[in-house]
Amino acid sequence: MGEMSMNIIVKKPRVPLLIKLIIIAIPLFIFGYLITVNFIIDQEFNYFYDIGGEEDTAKPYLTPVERMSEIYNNSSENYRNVNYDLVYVNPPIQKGSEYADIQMRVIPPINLSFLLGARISQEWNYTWNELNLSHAPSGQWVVVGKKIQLYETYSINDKLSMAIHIPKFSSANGDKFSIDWINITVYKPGVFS
Amino acid sequence: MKNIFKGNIALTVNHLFQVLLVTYLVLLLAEELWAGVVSNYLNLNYMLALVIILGILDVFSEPQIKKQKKATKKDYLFIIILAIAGFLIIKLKTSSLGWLSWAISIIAGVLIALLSILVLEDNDNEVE
Repeated sequence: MGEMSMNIIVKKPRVPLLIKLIIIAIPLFIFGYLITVNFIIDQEFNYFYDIGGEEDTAKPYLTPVERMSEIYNNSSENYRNVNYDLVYVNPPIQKGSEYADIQMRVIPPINLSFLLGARISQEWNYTWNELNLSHAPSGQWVVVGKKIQLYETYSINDKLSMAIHIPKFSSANGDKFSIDWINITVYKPGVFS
Repeated sequence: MKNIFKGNIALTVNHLFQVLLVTYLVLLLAEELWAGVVSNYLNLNYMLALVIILGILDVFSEPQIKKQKKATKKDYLFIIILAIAGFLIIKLKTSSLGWLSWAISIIAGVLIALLSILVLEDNDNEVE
């Protein structure tokens, strides 16, 4: 009787090719998305600081806290007054951002210039941009704004120190400066812009 | 312990877990190196939750029997690349420390290389 040979085929479990492709597509999609939004397309980031709002009550946006008043509430708005010159806000700035469009709702100080600064070096050094308040009616809420170039600025932990500076400001002399909100829109161009 | 998943499904869960874990770790590293590059667009905590769930499911799935392979030149090259990458990342993150930064990163790089070789050669001994 001849020898009989028998092959036993043991099927090893394998991930089907289609499922394998789907699984591989997940990280590819995530990395593709992140590369696109970080480098390829234009981006706008909006940061709204409601001075006197819920979050500002828990952790004040404008620092040092000692230079700001407590929160004032009236029927339509919550706000704080600036008690001493030079207060700061630190919005996040993504690397490669071109400019920040800053809008503020304020009761500006009368007959005093009002400057917005952006930090430009490790030392205390700011570029100053004067806001035009010639049209502002005295003692009333107005929205003022300024575009600030961000190429030369110096960020710490991807946060830019922005200063609000009113030279010769003195609340003791009756100067008053109230801030209701600050809206900062950061524009970051893509590689094809 | 009773296995929830067996065969192809267990393998798929294992594969998915590995891919997402590596993706999560790479994203976490990218976020550490360039803050905001990931967190401005994605919440990594959701991904972490998914990785943990898949990890738990993987633990309760049928284990895969893996053949031990002998270490090759490729494995040693991979260890060298990992050690250099580790050195560079730590150097980058500690650059403000001056000369101490060099010391910390060199020690870390050497440690990565030595520990990896130790694990690799330990596996080799088990194969023999």
